[in-house]
This record gives sequence, structure tokens and C-alpha cells, in this order.
Amino acid sequence: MKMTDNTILVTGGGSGIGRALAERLHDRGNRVILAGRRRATLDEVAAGRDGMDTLELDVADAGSVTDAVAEIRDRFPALNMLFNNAGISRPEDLTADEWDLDLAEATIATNVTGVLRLTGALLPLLRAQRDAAIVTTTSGLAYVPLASHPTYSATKAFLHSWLQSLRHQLRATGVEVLELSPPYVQTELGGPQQATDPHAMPLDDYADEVMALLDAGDTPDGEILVKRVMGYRAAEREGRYAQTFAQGNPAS
Amino acid sequence: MKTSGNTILMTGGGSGIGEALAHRFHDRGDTVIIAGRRRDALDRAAEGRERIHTMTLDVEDDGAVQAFAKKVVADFPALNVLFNNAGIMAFEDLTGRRDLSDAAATVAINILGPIRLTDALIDHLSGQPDAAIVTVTSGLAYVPLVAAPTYSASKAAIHSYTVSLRMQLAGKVEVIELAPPGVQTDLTPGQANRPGYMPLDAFADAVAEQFARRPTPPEILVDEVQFLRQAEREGRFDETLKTLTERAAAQREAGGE
Repeated sequence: MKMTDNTILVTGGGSGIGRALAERLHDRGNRVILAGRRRATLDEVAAGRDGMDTLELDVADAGSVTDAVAEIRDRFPALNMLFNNAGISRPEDLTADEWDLDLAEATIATNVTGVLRLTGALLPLLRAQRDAAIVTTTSGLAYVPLASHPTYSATKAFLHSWLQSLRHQLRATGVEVLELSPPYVQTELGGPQQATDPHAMPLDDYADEVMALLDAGDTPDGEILVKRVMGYRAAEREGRYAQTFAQGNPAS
Repeated sequence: MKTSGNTILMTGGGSGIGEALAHRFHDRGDTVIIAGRRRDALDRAAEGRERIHTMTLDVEDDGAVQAFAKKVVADFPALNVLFNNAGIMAFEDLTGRRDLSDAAATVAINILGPIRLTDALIDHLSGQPDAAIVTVTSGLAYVPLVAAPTYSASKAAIHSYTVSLRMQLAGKVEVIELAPPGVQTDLTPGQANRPGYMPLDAFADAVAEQFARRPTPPEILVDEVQFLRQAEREGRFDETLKTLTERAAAQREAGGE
């Protein structure tokens, strides 16, 4: 992936990993469009940064995606990089009296359908550019699930599989397909407490390590893997899936 | 899962793997409710088997799933096994802007379908002795068929979901995954006669043999699917993906697709 002179759309760019990487990419002189649901959050991140734009977008809403894509074509015709980063994560207790199916539906709508829709809609534009890339955020939980978050983990397994097919199908087009698989990082993905959880990787450390991997072109098979996620990523390959699952999901 | 005397709800029971397994479960002494979208297919599948019952169901419709669950529990209070078998598969070209309806339907049926039915029946199943939930995934959950991106991904998702479900329901409901290889069914056009795919009866017999074991294996895997299931574990994922891609293209060509 080219590291400068890009025009990059970052979904879920107002906070967490999206924001941290968007800021670093902007610091390198890339034009960055931050997309997200909350206008005020986006404006706050972009304040005082020339060449950082914002775009209201809810990837779970087909109409919002259509509007955003039309605006991108109009305002940012040089767009050559899509960073599918927006995602939601919620615990679900399948044994509770009231198991709320809405959580599963919303998680699939954002994490799966949102990615399919936005990627499909922007691909013709991306294919027309030189040095195009699609980066999509999955999770270490794509490889070994967190049982308390069954739909979230399953959506990330979905994306890991789907990205391999996409990468193959786009191999002759020049559009690079990258998968970003974070470990547990200090963001507010799982609620405000996660941002200070000492068990989670500090966000700046994570974003810095990702930038170093990208700078070095160290993305084997299109995967951006920091050291800390390898316990999950390589669990099956190293014959310790059951052990890793048990460690990540202690019986209460 | 008991080896006889179950009352099993089999979704997608009017054809293919669902029908073949429904017949085998029936013939060993289980009661089977086959559910599906097409009334005529269900009737044909039930013909001549007195403990096979039929109910129409479209798992894409959340309201219909809720009403269906109430009725099936009222009509068959002994129901103790949910067999999530219904699924669709489409080949998709991702290289340009396209109609997302195939992808959306695949997500709705293959992922949300089992989640909705599990949600609707979990209270009932939790109160039953010898309760089990079976999910049908695919060898493609482990190594994707790049020509069928959303299908492969939906099966990877349901494999992951099944692992979580097994943990959450431990001690209450047994959770079993059935991961078929390519089997000669009408899942995709031309597949029922596609060379290199496993004949349906041979597959159903091999699966029935594993369901006759006590305890039931948590993953039902016939020999023909191990090439995919064990690819990552055996350190040959990249090579297997390449082989699968080439082989599948050749098989589809040979099958007139």
C-alpha cells in the first residue's frame, strides 16, 4: 500500500482505531475523509487539520451509503483508498429470559452488510485509480471467537473469509485488499471501560505498530497483523485452538 | 443427541441434504418435522413416511419465524432437536458494481435464519431432556470458494457462531456442527450431477453413522471434508485455497456450468 498522496475514506473515523490511523495517515500528507454517524465527533477530530474532511455516513443504512457515495464521487473523485473500519460490538446472553435479537441484526447490518454495500458501491471508482486499496478491519476474534459476543465474532469470521475471496477476485485489477486484524485494543468499542482496560493494548502503540508494518510492506497474504494478535491468528495453525478458546472464554 | 426417539425440526427439509437426513432419522425411529419454502417439495419428501410431518417456513421472514416457532412447539411438544439446515448458495462476481440481492439473501438465510430460529426455540429446547441444536456449515467455512464469496463467508460466520453457542449453552443444550464437503444436491445449478462432488446417499449414510455414535461428535466431518477442515491446522491453507479454486473451476466447467 502506498503511504503518501492518497485520498482515503475512513469509516468509523471519529473514534478508536479509525481515528488513530486516520490522524497518522493525515500526518503523512494524505487527504483523509472521516466518515461516521456523529457529525460533532467527526468535526472535533478534523478541527485544525487541513486536508481532513468529514462525511456523515451510517453504513447500516442503504440510503445513507447511496448519498455518501454520490457525494464522494462529486467532492473526492481522486479517492483511491477505502478503509472499512466502522463496526459495532455487543455482548449477547443466549440463555437470558429476554434475548434481544435486535442486537444480532444490528451487528450484521453494520459489520457485514455495511461493508458489502460500501465496497460494492465504491469499487468502480477505486478500479479507475492507480494504487487503489481496500483495507477492512476484522478482529483476532475472527479466528477464535469470544463466546459472550457470538454475533460480533461471527461477523468478523465472515469478513476474514470474504476478504480472501475479494482479494482473489480483484487480483488482476490492481486493487489491493488488506485485512486489519486488531487484538483487544484500548478503544470504546466494548464500552467506555475498555479505553482504560490494562489488559487491552494501548491505542497509540497499536496504531504505531500498524503504521510500521505498512511502511515496511510487511503484510503477508494481505494481512496486517501486529505481534499481539498472533496468539489468536495462529491458534488453529499451531494446533492450540481449543486451548486458546478456553483461555479467552473461562468457564464462569 | 439420542440415537432414536428424537423429535427433530429439519429446516430446508424438502430437498438435498435435509431431505436425505430426514429420511435416515425417520427410518431409525425419530419423528421429523421438515420445514421449507416449497409445499410440493415437502409433501414429496414426506411421502410414505408416517413420522415425517411438514410445515412451510421462510427463515428470511422474522415475523414468520416467530409464528412458526409457536406453532411447532404447540403441535410437537416433544421437540428436542433443532436442525438448522436451510441455506442458499450463489456464485458472485465482485469485480464491479452489482446487485447486492444475492448477497443480502445469503446473509439473511444462512446467518440470520439459524440465529432467529435458535432465538425463537431456545426457551423450549432448554426445558427438554436430550436437547440438541445442529448447524449445517460447509467445508467452505474453513477455506473459501472464491467464486462464492458471501456463501463461504456466511458459513465461516456460522461456524464461529456455533462455537460460541456451544460454550453458552453448555450443560443445557448439546450443540453440534455438521460441515459437509461438496455434495451432489441442487444447492447450485448443475451441482446434482457435478463430477467430483460426493453422492448424496453416500454422504447421508456416512453422516447417519456418526449420528449413531454416543456421544455425538461435536463436529460431524466425513472423510471428504477433512481436506478443507484441517487445511489451516495442517499448515497448508494457501496451497489448499489454490487447489480448491482451480479444482472448482474445472468441475464447474466439466459440469456444463
